[in-house]
Amino acid sequence: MKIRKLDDYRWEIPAEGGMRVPGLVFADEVLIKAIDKDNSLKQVANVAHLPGIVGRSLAMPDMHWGYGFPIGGVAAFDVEEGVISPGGVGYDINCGVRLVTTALTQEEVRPSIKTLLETLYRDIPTGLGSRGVLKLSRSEVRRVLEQGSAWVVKQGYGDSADLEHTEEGGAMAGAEGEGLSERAVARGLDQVGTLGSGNHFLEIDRVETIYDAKTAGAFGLFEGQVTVLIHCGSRGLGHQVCDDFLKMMMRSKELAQMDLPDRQLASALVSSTLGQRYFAAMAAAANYAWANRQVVMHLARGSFEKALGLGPARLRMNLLYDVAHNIAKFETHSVDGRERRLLVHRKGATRAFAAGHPDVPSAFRAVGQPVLIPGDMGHGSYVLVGASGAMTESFGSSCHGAGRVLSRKAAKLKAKGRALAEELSQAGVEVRYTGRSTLAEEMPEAYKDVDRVVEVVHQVGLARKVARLRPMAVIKG
Amino acid sequence: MRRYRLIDHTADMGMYLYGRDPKQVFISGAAVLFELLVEGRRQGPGKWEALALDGLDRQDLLVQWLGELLYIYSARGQVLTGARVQRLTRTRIEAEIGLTAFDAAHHKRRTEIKAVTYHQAEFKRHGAGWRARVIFDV
Repeated sequence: MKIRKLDDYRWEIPAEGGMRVPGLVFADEVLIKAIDKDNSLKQVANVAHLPGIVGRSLAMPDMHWGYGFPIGGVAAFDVEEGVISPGGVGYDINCGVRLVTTALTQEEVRPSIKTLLETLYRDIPTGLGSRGVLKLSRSEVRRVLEQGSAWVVKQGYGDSADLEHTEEGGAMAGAEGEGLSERAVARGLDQVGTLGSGNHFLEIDRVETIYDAKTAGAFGLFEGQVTVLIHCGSRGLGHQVCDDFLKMMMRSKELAQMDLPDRQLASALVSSTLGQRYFAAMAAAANYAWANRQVVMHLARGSFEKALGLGPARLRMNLLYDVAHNIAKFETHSVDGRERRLLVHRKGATRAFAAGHPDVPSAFRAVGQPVLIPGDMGHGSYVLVGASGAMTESFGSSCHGAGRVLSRKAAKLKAKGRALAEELSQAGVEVRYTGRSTLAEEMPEAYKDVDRVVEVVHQVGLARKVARLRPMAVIKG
Repeated sequence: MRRYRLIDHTADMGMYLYGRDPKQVFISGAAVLFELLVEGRRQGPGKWEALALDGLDRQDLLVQWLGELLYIYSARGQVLTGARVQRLTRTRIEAEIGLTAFDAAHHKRRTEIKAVTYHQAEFKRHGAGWRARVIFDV
């Protein structure tokens, strides 16, 4: 793949063949070498073939080979001539992460960490095929699809302050529950409040380092503080929505004229009936994911109360923020000095709006949107804040994690014969897991160096470092 | 003849499926999918049900076939015990699939596969037989 170094952190893929725009990858010398080993640069170029793409086909430093879009890909499309692509959102629609702050310090929690972990593991359905505590009727699923977090809050799972600290308030406008297939709805009946498996997790962290005291203060973070990071998505319902619409788009007449290099990029014009139907269904699945994380957080609050014998007033478990990693959203961005309404696809990327943006919750508008970057379970995670560079260079986006560097097979080979849980425990991280192979696949070495990934977005100015978190205990599905 | 070879994909999982004819590729794909999904006894008795699917071409048909079997497992909780392909054209498969309910006493869930993707999907002649490629989202 032809790639041209622009500076220490920017690499261009020149527009060739059917590419409508160039590609741009944010990475340093070390990361780009790792990226170049798989097919992800080709995928950046493939995305650049899509009709109506604006600016450049972008990729974040945590990027790796996905299907269709690369993981870590960002692409914006004109709302008249451009497309919406289910493969640009992914199967796990609104897979995302939320961070809960507490009033507790690590010294207070450390002696009870094993009890706390066991309680969380017992209370939160985890792993393959897990079923939630909520058993919804079909009409209730449709309410979740249209009202998102607000509906579960009304049922007693959390409070209204949580909604203000969730991207889109936990309910995306334009969602239509009626647009989902019977299969999708059926798969959503018993999965609200479940973590799932794979790379999904719940992690208890401590704030290890504060880089920006003013912003950390605005976010309610302090050194030594215990926080909870929750990563999950829309479960089987989201997978089904993606599957259903990919199938429909593959069969549309529009697609035949697009001449795309990968079938997984099957798309529809944003302005077409099919494109609008997919957007409404995707938004509904995104709402389901927000409701899912809201219920998981509520269960975690209950586990903390039980395990530590402390009330909510003492725990002060406040939602700092919840961000989506896999989503397409209508946003206004400045392109060549002109404000344009665009459909921004983030496939394994985080919105990172800078200070002053009207979509940033009022509590954070003076500093910018919290950007949450889970790393791996051995090393740590970051809290960043959206910066002005994101508004000029990446359609208000940043990275979403460390990004895989080892395949699952390679990770399992590397883990063979090792007692990973014991290794992590000796390093101060207690682990509870459902599947031994998941633990091996998700081992710390399977991921890139999160410090390096975050340094790139910090140096480019897409998001600035606020705090680094260090894991204390992790639940893996 | 080898039935399959796993593809080392960074985040997901892929496989090459082999068969002396397209029918065998479809049957191998079904068996390998369930080897990845479930550990434990997958033999009968179970019950048989008919499954007919239409695709745009062989690649699409294979994605549909594996996707439907994945749905039967993920959403209906049924484990495949066998597959008989009665009729196969480039765009249609008519088959009978043997199913038994997932039972934690006999089965253990192995890998979560979210979906069968179209990414790099292929289905073509390979030496004296046929080879297909599919990538799963895991």
